[in-house]
Amino acid sequence: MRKIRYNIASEKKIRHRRVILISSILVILSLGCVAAGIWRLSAENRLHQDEIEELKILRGKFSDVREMIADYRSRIEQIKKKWGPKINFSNGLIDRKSFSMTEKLDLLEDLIPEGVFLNHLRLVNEPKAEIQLGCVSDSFKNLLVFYKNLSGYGMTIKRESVLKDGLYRADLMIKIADEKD
Amino acid sequence: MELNSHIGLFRIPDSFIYAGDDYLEIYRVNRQKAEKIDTLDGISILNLSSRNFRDVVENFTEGTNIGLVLNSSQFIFNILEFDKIPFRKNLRRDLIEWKIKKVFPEDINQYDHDFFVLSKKRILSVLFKKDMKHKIEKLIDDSNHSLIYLGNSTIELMNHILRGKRIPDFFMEIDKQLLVVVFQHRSVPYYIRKFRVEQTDEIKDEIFKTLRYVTGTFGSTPRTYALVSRDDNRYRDIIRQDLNSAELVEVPLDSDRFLFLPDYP
Repeated sequence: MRKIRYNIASEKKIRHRRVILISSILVILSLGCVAAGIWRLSAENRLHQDEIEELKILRGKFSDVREMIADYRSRIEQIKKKWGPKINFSNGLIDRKSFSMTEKLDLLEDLIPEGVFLNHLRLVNEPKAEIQLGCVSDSFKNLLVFYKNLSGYGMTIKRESVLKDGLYRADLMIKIADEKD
Repeated sequence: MELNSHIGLFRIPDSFIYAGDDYLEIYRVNRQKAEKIDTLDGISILNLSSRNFRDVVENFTEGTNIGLVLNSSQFIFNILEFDKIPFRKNLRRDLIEWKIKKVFPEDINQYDHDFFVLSKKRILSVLFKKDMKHKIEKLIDDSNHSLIYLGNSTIELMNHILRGKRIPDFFMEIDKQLLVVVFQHRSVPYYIRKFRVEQTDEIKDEIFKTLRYVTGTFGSTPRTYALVSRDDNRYRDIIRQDLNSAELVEVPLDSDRFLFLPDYP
Protein backbone atom coordinates (compact mmCIF):
# COMPACT_ATOMS: atom_id res chain seq x y z
CA MET A 1 0.00 0.00 0.00
CA ARG A 2 1.29 3.42 -0.88
CA LYS A 3 1.81 5.59 2.18
CA ILE A 4 -1.14 7.83 2.98
CA ARG A 5 -0.02 11.31 3.90
CA TYR A 6 -3.03 12.75 5.65
CA ASN A 7 -2.64 16.22 7.04
CA ILE A 8 -5.51 18.69 6.94
CA ALA A 9 -3.79 21.54 8.79
CA SER A 10 -4.19 24.83 6.91
CA GLU A 11 -0.71 26.07 7.71
CA LYS A 12 1.60 23.30 6.65
CA LYS A 13 5.25 24.28 6.60
CA ILE A 14 7.47 23.35 3.76
CA ARG A 15 10.74 21.60 4.39
CA HIS A 16 12.88 24.01 2.48
CA ARG A 17 16.04 21.98 2.64
CA ARG A 18 14.30 18.93 1.25
CA VAL A 19 12.72 20.97 -1.52
CA ILE A 20 16.07 22.50 -2.45
CA LEU A 21 17.75 19.11 -2.30
CA ILE A 22 15.15 17.44 -4.49
CA SER A 23 15.13 20.35 -6.94
CA SER A 24 18.91 20.23 -7.15
CA ILE A 25 18.85 16.49 -7.77
CA LEU A 26 16.26 16.94 -10.51
CA VAL A 27 18.27 19.71 -12.15
CA ILE A 28 21.48 17.67 -11.96
CA LEU A 29 19.72 14.63 -13.40
CA SER A 30 18.26 16.72 -16.21
CA LEU A 31 21.63 18.24 -17.02
CA GLY A 32 23.14 14.77 -16.85
CA CYS A 33 20.58 13.47 -19.34
CA VAL A 34 21.23 16.39 -21.67
CA ALA A 35 25.00 15.87 -21.40
CA ALA A 36 24.60 12.15 -22.04
CA GLY A 37 22.48 12.90 -25.07
CA ILE A 38 25.01 15.35 -26.46
CA TRP A 39 27.90 12.95 -25.84
CA ARG A 40 26.00 10.09 -27.45
CA LEU A 41 25.09 12.12 -30.51
CA SER A 42 28.65 13.38 -30.95
CA ALA A 43 29.95 9.81 -30.52
CA GLU A 44 27.64 8.69 -33.29
CA ASN A 45 28.88 11.54 -35.44
CA ARG A 46 32.49 10.50 -34.84
CA LEU A 47 31.65 6.92 -35.91
CA HIS A 48 30.24 8.08 -39.18
CA GLN A 49 32.76 10.83 -39.86
CA ASP A 50 34.01 9.29 -43.13
CA GLU A 51 30.49 8.90 -44.44
CA ILE A 52 29.68 12.48 -43.43
CA GLU A 53 32.75 13.76 -45.31
CA GLU A 54 31.87 11.74 -48.38
CA LEU A 55 28.34 13.03 -48.19
CA LYS A 56 29.63 16.60 -48.14
CA ILE A 57 31.75 15.96 -51.25
CA LEU A 58 28.82 14.35 -53.04
CA ARG A 59 26.59 17.25 -52.08
CA GLY A 60 29.16 19.61 -53.55
CA LYS A 61 29.32 17.61 -56.77
CA PHE A 62 25.57 17.42 -56.94
CA SER A 63 25.21 21.16 -56.70
CA ASP A 64 27.88 21.54 -59.45
CA VAL A 65 25.93 19.20 -61.69
CA ARG A 66 22.76 21.13 -61.02
CA GLU A 67 24.46 24.33 -62.00
CA MET A 68 25.72 22.71 -65.17
CA ILE A 69 22.24 21.50 -66.05
CA ALA A 70 20.82 24.96 -65.49
CA ASP A 71 23.57 26.41 -67.68
CA TYR A 72 22.85 23.92 -70.48
CA ARG A 73 19.17 24.64 -70.28
CA SER A 74 19.71 28.34 -70.66
CA ARG A 75 22.02 27.74 -73.63
CA ILE A 76 19.41 25.51 -75.23
CA GLU A 77 16.86 28.25 -74.80
CA GLN A 78 19.16 30.75 -76.43
CA ILE A 79 19.78 28.41 -79.36
CA LYS A 80 16.07 27.82 -79.73
CA LYS A 81 15.46 31.55 -79.76
CA LYS A 82 18.13 32.08 -82.39
CA TRP A 83 17.35 29.17 -84.70
CA GLY A 84 13.68 28.71 -84.03
CA PRO A 85 12.40 31.03 -86.76
CA LYS A 86 14.80 29.55 -89.32
CA ILE A 87 13.80 26.02 -88.39
CA ASN A 88 10.16 26.89 -88.68
CA PHE A 89 10.72 28.40 -92.09
CA SER A 90 12.63 25.33 -93.27
CA ASN A 91 9.89 23.03 -91.98
CA GLY A 92 7.39 25.07 -93.91
CA LEU A 93 9.39 24.58 -97.07
CA ILE A 94 9.68 20.87 -96.45
CA ASP A 95 5.97 20.64 -95.87
CA ARG A 96 5.38 22.37 -99.14
CA LYS A 97 7.80 20.09 -100.92
CA SER A 98 6.22 17.09 -99.42
CA PHE A 99 3.54 16.94 -102.07
CA SER A 100 3.89 17.54 -105.79
CA MET A 101 1.13 16.47 -108.11
CA THR A 102 3.31 16.48 -111.19
CA GLU A 103 5.89 14.25 -109.53
CA LYS A 104 3.15 11.73 -108.81
CA LEU A 105 1.91 11.83 -112.38
CA ASP A 106 5.45 11.35 -113.67
CA LEU A 107 5.82 8.34 -111.45
CA LEU A 108 2.51 6.91 -112.57
CA GLU A 109 3.49 7.26 -116.20
CA ASP A 110 6.62 5.23 -115.51
CA LEU A 111 4.56 2.47 -113.96
CA ILE A 112 2.20 2.00 -116.93
CA PRO A 113 3.48 -0.82 -119.17
CA GLU A 114 3.01 -1.30 -122.92
CA GLY A 115 -0.57 -2.17 -123.91
CA VAL A 116 -2.17 -0.49 -120.92
CA PHE A 117 -3.99 2.79 -121.19
CA LEU A 118 -5.56 5.01 -118.55
CA ASN A 119 -9.14 5.96 -119.26
CA HIS A 120 -9.88 7.58 -115.97
CA LEU A 121 -7.80 9.34 -113.33
CA ARG A 122 -8.85 11.10 -110.23
CA LEU A 123 -6.20 12.83 -108.21
CA VAL A 124 -7.07 15.26 -105.38
CA ASN A 125 -4.60 18.12 -105.04
CA GLU A 126 -3.76 17.39 -101.45
CA PRO A 127 -0.95 15.63 -99.58
CA LYS A 128 -1.49 11.96 -98.81
CA ALA A 129 -4.36 11.81 -101.23
CA GLU A 130 -5.36 8.50 -102.80
CA ILE A 131 -5.31 8.18 -106.57
CA GLN A 132 -8.24 6.54 -108.26
CA LEU A 133 -7.62 5.35 -111.77
CA GLY A 134 -9.33 3.33 -114.42
CA CYS A 135 -7.31 1.40 -117.02
CA VAL A 136 -7.81 -0.68 -120.16
CA SER A 137 -5.38 -3.39 -121.26
CA ASP A 138 -5.17 -5.24 -124.53
CA SER A 139 -4.21 -8.42 -122.72
CA PHE A 140 -4.54 -9.98 -119.31
CA LYS A 141 -0.79 -10.40 -119.25
CA ASN A 142 -0.15 -6.66 -119.61
CA LEU A 143 -2.78 -5.96 -116.98
CA LEU A 144 -0.93 -8.25 -114.59
CA VAL A 145 2.31 -6.42 -115.28
CA PHE A 146 0.56 -3.17 -114.39
CA TYR A 147 -0.73 -4.72 -111.14
CA LYS A 148 2.76 -5.84 -110.37
CA ASN A 149 4.17 -2.34 -110.91
CA LEU A 150 1.50 -0.85 -108.64
CA SER A 151 1.80 -3.52 -105.94
CA GLY A 152 4.23 -1.36 -103.93
CA TYR A 153 1.74 1.50 -103.75
CA GLY A 154 -1.01 -0.04 -101.67
CA MET A 155 -3.07 -1.00 -104.69
CA THR A 156 -6.67 -1.97 -104.26
CA ILE A 157 -8.63 -3.47 -107.17
CA LYS A 158 -12.11 -2.10 -107.03
CA ARG A 159 -13.48 -3.71 -110.14
CA GLU A 160 -12.25 -5.86 -112.96
CA SER A 161 -14.10 -6.83 -116.14
CA VAL A 162 -13.67 -8.13 -119.67
CA LEU A 163 -15.03 -5.97 -122.47
CA LYS A 164 -16.81 -7.19 -125.62
CA ASP A 165 -13.89 -6.62 -127.87
CA GLY A 166 -11.58 -8.73 -125.69
CA LEU A 167 -10.08 -5.85 -123.77
CA TYR A 168 -9.59 -5.93 -119.98
CA ARG A 169 -10.79 -3.14 -117.83
CA ALA A 170 -9.94 -2.41 -114.16
CA ASP A 171 -10.72 0.30 -111.62
CA LEU A 172 -7.94 0.68 -109.10
CA MET A 173 -6.94 2.76 -106.16
CA ILE A 174 -3.35 3.41 -105.21
CA LYS A 175 -1.46 5.56 -102.77
CA ILE A 176 1.80 7.20 -103.62
CA ALA A 177 3.68 8.45 -100.54
CA ASP A 178 4.45 12.14 -100.30
CA GLU A 179 8.04 13.15 -100.94
CA LYS A 180 8.91 13.87 -97.39
CA ASP A 181 7.72 10.41 -96.34
CA MET B 1 -0.22 17.48 -2.85
CA GLU B 2 0.36 14.53 -5.14
CA LEU B 3 4.08 15.18 -5.03
CA ASN B 4 3.96 15.39 -1.26
CA SER B 5 2.43 11.94 -1.09
CA HIS B 6 5.60 10.58 -2.65
CA ILE B 7 8.38 12.60 -1.11
CA GLY B 8 7.00 14.37 1.98
CA LEU B 9 7.50 18.05 1.35
CA PHE B 10 6.03 19.27 4.61
CA ARG B 11 7.74 19.61 7.93
CA ILE B 12 7.02 17.26 10.83
CA PRO B 13 6.11 19.08 14.06
CA ASP B 14 8.38 19.39 17.08
CA SER B 15 5.60 18.38 19.46
CA PHE B 16 2.52 16.23 19.11
CA ILE B 17 -0.71 16.18 21.00
CA TYR B 18 -2.74 13.02 20.77
CA ALA B 19 -6.41 13.77 21.38
CA GLY B 20 -8.48 10.87 22.65
CA ASP B 21 -12.15 11.23 23.52
CA ASP B 22 -11.57 12.60 27.00
CA TYR B 23 -7.84 12.88 27.41
CA LEU B 24 -4.75 14.36 25.83
CA GLU B 25 -1.26 13.00 25.56
CA ILE B 26 1.69 15.22 24.83
CA TYR B 27 4.74 13.99 22.95
CA ARG B 28 7.98 15.67 22.06
CA VAL B 29 10.02 14.75 19.01
CA ASN B 30 13.75 14.75 19.24
CA ARG B 31 15.97 13.43 16.47
CA GLN B 32 13.23 11.33 14.94
CA LYS B 33 12.29 9.81 18.28
CA ALA B 34 9.06 10.60 20.08
CA GLU B 35 8.89 10.80 23.84
CA LYS B 36 5.75 11.01 25.93
CA ILE B 37 5.82 14.03 28.17
CA ASP B 38 2.44 14.15 29.82
CA THR B 39 -1.09 12.72 29.94
CA LEU B 40 -4.00 14.96 30.77
CA ASP B 41 -7.17 13.09 31.69
CA GLY B 42 -10.68 14.41 31.56
CA ILE B 43 -9.99 16.84 28.70
CA SER B 44 -11.62 16.72 25.29
CA ILE B 45 -9.96 18.93 22.71
CA LEU B 46 -13.28 19.68 21.10
CA ASN B 47 -14.70 21.09 24.31
CA LEU B 48 -11.60 23.03 25.28
CA SER B 49 -11.57 26.80 25.43
CA SER B 50 -8.60 28.86 24.27
CA ARG B 51 -7.71 29.75 27.83
CA ASN B 52 -7.70 26.14 28.94
CA PHE B 53 -5.69 25.11 25.93
CA ARG B 54 -3.04 27.65 26.82
CA ASP B 55 -2.66 25.82 30.10
CA VAL B 56 -2.20 22.57 28.23
CA VAL B 57 0.66 23.96 26.18
CA GLU B 58 2.13 26.23 28.85
CA ASN B 59 5.40 24.31 28.76
CA PHE B 60 5.80 24.68 25.01
CA THR B 61 8.25 27.22 23.72
CA GLU B 62 6.46 30.11 22.03
CA GLY B 63 5.90 29.59 18.35
CA THR B 64 6.26 25.79 18.59
CA ASN B 65 5.15 23.83 15.58
CA ILE B 66 2.44 21.58 16.94
CA GLY B 67 0.97 18.48 15.46
CA LEU B 68 -2.40 17.22 16.55
CA VAL B 69 -3.38 13.60 16.08
CA LEU B 70 -7.07 12.95 16.60
CA ASN B 71 -8.68 9.61 17.22
CA SER B 72 -11.24 8.46 14.71
CA SER B 73 -14.36 9.41 16.62
CA GLN B 74 -14.97 12.52 14.50
CA PHE B 75 -13.84 11.06 11.20
CA ILE B 76 -15.98 9.30 8.64
CA PHE B 77 -14.24 6.63 6.58
CA ASN B 78 -15.49 5.03 3.42
CA ILE B 79 -13.69 2.52 1.26
CA LEU B 80 -15.08 2.70 -2.27
CA GLU B 81 -14.66 0.25 -5.12
CA PHE B 82 -14.67 1.31 -8.77
CA ASP B 83 -14.24 -0.60 -12.00
CA LYS B 84 -11.86 2.04 -13.15
CA ILE B 85 -10.52 5.08 -11.35
CA PRO B 86 -10.16 8.15 -13.62
CA PHE B 87 -6.66 9.50 -13.99
CA ARG B 88 -7.56 13.18 -13.86
CA LYS B 89 -7.95 14.42 -10.32
CA ASN B 90 -11.05 16.55 -10.83
CA LEU B 91 -12.86 13.67 -12.55
CA ARG B 92 -11.79 11.37 -9.75
CA ARG B 93 -13.13 13.78 -7.15
CA ASP B 94 -16.46 14.14 -8.94
CA LEU B 95 -16.88 10.38 -9.17
CA ILE B 96 -16.02 9.80 -5.53
CA GLU B 97 -18.28 12.56 -4.29
CA TRP B 98 -21.09 11.24 -6.43
CA LYS B 99 -20.70 7.84 -4.80
CA ILE B 100 -20.35 9.27 -1.29
CA LYS B 101 -23.53 11.32 -1.68
CA LYS B 102 -25.44 8.10 -2.26
CA VAL B 103 -24.54 6.78 1.20
CA PHE B 104 -23.87 9.96 3.18
CA PRO B 105 -26.97 11.85 4.29
CA GLU B 106 -25.37 15.18 5.17
CA ASP B 107 -24.09 18.02 3.01
CA ILE B 108 -20.61 17.01 1.94
CA ASN B 109 -19.59 20.64 1.48
CA GLN B 110 -19.55 21.06 5.24
CA TYR B 111 -16.78 18.52 5.43
CA ASP B 112 -13.14 18.49 4.59
CA HIS B 113 -13.06 15.67 2.09
CA ASP B 114 -9.84 13.90 1.22
CA PHE B 115 -9.41 10.69 -0.72
CA PHE B 116 -6.51 8.36 -1.31
CA VAL B 117 -5.99 5.74 -3.95
CA LEU B 118 -5.33 2.43 -2.21
CA SER B 119 -5.14 0.27 -5.31
CA LYS B 120 -6.25 0.25 -8.95
CA LYS B 121 -9.89 -0.05 -7.95
CA ARG B 122 -10.10 1.05 -4.35
CA ILE B 123 -10.23 4.47 -2.77
CA LEU B 124 -10.26 5.56 0.87
CA SER B 125 -12.45 8.58 1.49
CA VAL B 126 -12.04 10.57 4.72
CA LEU B 127 -14.49 13.21 5.92
CA PHE B 128 -13.92 15.61 8.79
CA LYS B 129 -16.18 18.48 9.75
CA LYS B 130 -14.82 21.84 8.65
CA ASP B 131 -16.09 23.80 11.63
CA MET B 132 -14.39 21.38 13.97
CA LYS B 133 -11.14 21.90 12.13
CA HIS B 134 -11.52 25.67 12.28
CA LYS B 135 -12.21 25.44 16.00
CA ILE B 136 -9.07 23.41 16.64
CA GLU B 137 -6.94 25.74 14.53
CA LYS B 138 -8.26 28.76 16.37
CA LEU B 139 -7.43 27.14 19.70
CA ILE B 140 -3.84 26.70 18.73
CA ASP B 141 -3.59 30.03 17.01
CA ASP B 142 -4.86 31.77 20.15
CA SER B 143 -2.11 30.07 22.11
CA ASN B 144 0.54 31.63 19.81
CA HIS B 145 1.67 28.34 18.36
CA SER B 146 1.47 26.96 14.83
CA LEU B 147 -0.60 23.96 13.96
CA ILE B 148 1.29 22.42 11.07
CA TYR B 149 -0.09 18.92 11.30
CA LEU B 150 -3.66 17.77 11.87
CA GLY B 151 -4.03 14.08 11.27
CA ASN B 152 -5.77 10.90 12.24
CA SER B 153 -4.48 8.02 14.35
CA THR B 154 -6.11 5.20 12.36
CA ILE B 155 -4.57 6.37 9.11
CA GLU B 156 -1.13 6.54 10.69
CA LEU B 157 -1.64 3.05 12.08
CA MET B 158 -2.44 1.87 8.56
CA ASN B 159 0.79 3.41 7.35
CA HIS B 160 2.80 1.63 10.03
CA ILE B 161 1.08 -1.73 10.25
CA LEU B 162 0.17 -2.37 6.62
CA ARG B 163 3.67 -1.54 5.44
CA GLY B 164 5.42 -3.65 8.05
CA LYS B 165 7.09 -7.03 7.68
CA ARG B 166 4.30 -9.07 9.19
CA ILE B 167 0.90 -7.77 8.23
CA PRO B 168 -2.18 -9.01 10.10
CA ASP B 169 -5.49 -9.67 8.33
CA PHE B 170 -7.01 -6.97 10.49
CA PHE B 171 -5.98 -4.65 13.27
CA MET B 172 -8.00 -3.06 16.01
CA GLU B 173 -7.34 0.36 17.42
CA ILE B 174 -8.69 0.68 20.94
CA ASP B 175 -9.07 4.09 22.49
CA LYS B 176 -11.02 3.64 25.69
CA GLN B 177 -14.54 2.88 24.49
CA LEU B 178 -13.90 3.61 20.84
CA LEU B 179 -12.85 0.69 18.67
CA VAL B 180 -11.80 0.95 15.06
CA VAL B 181 -11.23 -2.23 13.07
CA VAL B 182 -9.43 -2.21 9.74
CA PHE B 183 -9.42 -5.28 7.48
CA GLN B 184 -6.87 -5.64 4.73
CA HIS B 185 -5.95 -7.93 1.87
CA ARG B 186 -2.45 -7.79 0.39
CA SER B 187 -1.77 -4.66 2.41
CA VAL B 188 -4.76 -2.85 0.95
CA PRO B 189 -7.61 -2.03 3.36
CA TYR B 190 -11.00 -3.13 2.18
CA TYR B 191 -13.25 -2.54 5.19
CA ILE B 192 -13.21 -0.21 8.17
CA ARG B 193 -15.66 -0.30 11.02
CA LYS B 194 -15.86 2.07 13.93
CA PHE B 195 -18.00 1.42 17.02
CA ARG B 196 -18.34 2.26 20.67
CA VAL B 197 -18.88 -0.12 23.52
CA GLU B 198 -20.39 0.85 26.83
CA GLN B 199 -19.94 -2.44 28.54
CA THR B 200 -17.46 -5.25 28.41
CA ASP B 201 -19.90 -7.91 27.28
CA GLU B 202 -20.73 -5.90 24.17
CA ILE B 203 -17.23 -6.22 22.82
CA LYS B 204 -17.28 -9.90 21.92
CA ASP B 205 -20.65 -9.57 20.15
CA GLU B 206 -19.52 -6.59 18.15
CA ILE B 207 -16.22 -8.13 17.15
CA PHE B 208 -17.69 -11.41 16.00
CA LYS B 209 -20.56 -9.66 14.27
CA THR B 210 -17.95 -7.72 12.33
CA LEU B 211 -15.97 -10.86 11.51
CA ARG B 212 -19.09 -12.62 10.26
CA TYR B 213 -20.01 -9.61 8.15
CA VAL B 214 -16.57 -9.51 6.58
CA THR B 215 -16.58 -13.24 5.87
CA GLY B 216 -20.06 -13.09 4.37
CA THR B 217 -19.63 -9.92 2.34
CA PHE B 218 -16.05 -10.13 1.17
CA GLY B 219 -15.56 -13.87 1.22
CA SER B 220 -12.40 -13.66 3.27
CA THR B 221 -11.68 -15.40 6.55
CA PRO B 222 -9.31 -13.37 8.69
CA ARG B 223 -6.85 -15.46 10.68
CA THR B 224 -4.41 -12.97 12.19
CA TYR B 225 -4.87 -9.71 14.01
CA ALA B 226 -3.04 -6.97 15.82
CA LEU B 227 -4.13 -4.76 18.70
CA VAL B 228 -3.13 -1.20 19.29
CA SER B 229 -4.13 0.51 22.49
CA ARG B 230 -2.97 2.42 25.46
CA ASP B 231 -1.25 0.07 27.84
CA ASP B 232 -3.82 0.53 30.52
CA ASN B 233 -6.77 -0.12 28.28
CA ARG B 234 -9.15 -2.41 30.11
CA TYR B 235 -10.64 -3.92 27.00
CA ARG B 236 -7.42 -5.02 25.43
CA ASP B 237 -6.98 -8.26 27.35
CA ILE B 238 -10.65 -9.11 26.98
CA ILE B 239 -10.47 -8.68 23.26
CA ARG B 240 -7.29 -10.71 23.07
CA GLN B 241 -8.93 -13.55 24.95
CA ASP B 242 -12.01 -13.46 22.74
CA LEU B 243 -10.05 -13.47 19.54
CA ASN B 244 -7.68 -16.19 20.66
CA SER B 245 -10.65 -18.31 21.62
CA ALA B 246 -11.76 -18.11 18.00
CA GLU B 247 -8.31 -19.43 17.00
CA LEU B 248 -7.14 -16.14 15.66
CA VAL B 249 -3.44 -15.46 16.01
CA GLU B 250 -2.05 -12.18 17.25
CA VAL B 251 0.73 -10.49 15.31
CA PRO B 252 2.92 -8.53 17.70
CA LEU B 253 3.77 -4.97 16.74
CA ASP B 254 6.82 -2.83 17.42
CA SER B 255 6.28 -1.78 20.96
CA ASP B 256 8.88 0.96 21.04
CA ARG B 257 7.18 3.06 18.38
CA PHE B 258 4.27 5.38 18.72
CA LEU B 259 2.40 3.93 15.81
CA PHE B 260 -0.34 6.55 15.68
CA LEU B 261 2.14 9.36 15.15
CA PRO B 262 3.19 10.12 11.57
CA ASP B 263 6.18 8.20 10.37
CA TYR B 264 9.42 10.06 9.88
CA PRO B 265 10.85 9.83 6.39
